[in-house]
Amino acid sequence: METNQLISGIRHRLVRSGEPTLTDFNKITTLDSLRKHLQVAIELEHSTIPPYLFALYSIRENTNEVAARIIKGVVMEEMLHMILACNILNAVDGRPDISHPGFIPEYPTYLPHSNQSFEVNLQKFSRPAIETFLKIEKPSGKGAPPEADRYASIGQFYEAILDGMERLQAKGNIFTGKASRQITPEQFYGGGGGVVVVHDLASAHEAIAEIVGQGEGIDGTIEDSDHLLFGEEVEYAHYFRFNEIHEERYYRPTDTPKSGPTGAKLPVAWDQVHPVKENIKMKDFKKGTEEWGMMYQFNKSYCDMLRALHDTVNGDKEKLREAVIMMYDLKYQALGLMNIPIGNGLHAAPSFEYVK
Amino acid sequence: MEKTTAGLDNFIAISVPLTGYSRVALLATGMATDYYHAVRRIIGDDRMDDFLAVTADILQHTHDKAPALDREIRQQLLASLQYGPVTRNIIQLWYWGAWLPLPDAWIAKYGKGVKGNENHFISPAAYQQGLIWQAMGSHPEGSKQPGFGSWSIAPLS
Repeated sequence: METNQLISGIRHRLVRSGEPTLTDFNKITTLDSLRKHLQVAIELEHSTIPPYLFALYSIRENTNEVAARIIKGVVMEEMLHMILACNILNAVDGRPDISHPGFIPEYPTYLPHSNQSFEVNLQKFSRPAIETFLKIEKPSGKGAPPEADRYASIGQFYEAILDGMERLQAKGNIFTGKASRQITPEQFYGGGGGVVVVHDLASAHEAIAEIVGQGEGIDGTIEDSDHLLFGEEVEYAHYFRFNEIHEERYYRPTDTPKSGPTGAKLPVAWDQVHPVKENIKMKDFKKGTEEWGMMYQFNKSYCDMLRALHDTVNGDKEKLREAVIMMYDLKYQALGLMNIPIGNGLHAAPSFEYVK
Repeated sequence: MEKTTAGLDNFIAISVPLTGYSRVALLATGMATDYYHAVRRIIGDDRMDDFLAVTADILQHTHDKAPALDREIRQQLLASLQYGPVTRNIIQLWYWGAWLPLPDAWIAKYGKGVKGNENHFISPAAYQQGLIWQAMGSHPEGSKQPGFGSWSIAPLS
């Protein structure tokens, strides 16, 4: 029987770094390259949000409550991760850009800078959707090398960033960004986990541990990092929470990644879902029709929200409140779209496309 | 089945000028089918079919265009002893999500077989999806939260 590492008191470092397997080719060796990779990190964190929201909103109201709660919890943490990546980039005096036309990927898409082993679709809540989510959140596995490009797991990508930060910091202080550009915990209410203000290597470590720990779990356990970092109740990492939906069964505290979930049955009603069109686009509708107008309005609101967030992480912190209000509104717009039949038994859905 | 779909389409079509909201906006509430069946359930198939026949005729001969459409709705529906109360109740349904009792005079004359004519919300969702909240730039209390501090900034749209 596998021992639970938390109970047996073994603490692994959340993130391994500086492993000799990193080749010169994909090492991060300049501050400019580090900032570029952090920009990719922001885009990477964001790229998971539309597919998670799409699946979440496709669930019919008052059904699949556990599954919906799991996806909602994960997506809120992805939003936190995006802000954490912005804090790290601001700490090294970079300029997060979250309002440029290419910021939202065109779905289906590969994860930015990944090894392109799988595509991510905007698809309704379904087994294939959850299988993709599992791939997104898949832990690197022990000893997987850091990868700045063509990474197989998100953890590897962040390890390469951490490795680069350590090397660069050894040559001279890279944490020269203005403290006033950091998003602080007081501002970030109701989100998943805690915002880390980044001002040195230790806090950057902490921020990355939060990102990777929530996603993949701590080495060899199914738990996320929040209870270590923030004293929260034990919560399972994204991969394992999605796996509960996939296996239609809860984990028990003594379960391990190997054992899989062995707890009570988790009820999933795969058919209680709006029949929304996968990877829908505005161009699926004739311009000027009411349907097109509503699709456009959602995208306009989404891009306006990103622009408000862009201002937020570029010094105008008061804009966060406005961005959050827009997020609520986006939810109701998305739910509305999913009620609209568009023929062939399908319904409309938000397309998450860039519009001015 | 065909008849039901056609009836629902007619119901939505007349609801557009009655509410002032677009077809897509009405569908987006997710309530169209529920309201249609609620009206049919309460006033009965015969009254419902009569009502939808009249509204279909209005939409057709006015080519669904104001000001003729507006005039016809006022004269043939709102001013009609038979159709007026039903029309007003349909508007109420869309805006408020609740059915208001049809007046006694109407019941006495046309109400044979009417069931469930008491004041009630069609469903919890009907309260949340009322157009009244959009119309006044607000949100249903206890639901569809707009976010902390939203009251301190101007409406987004």
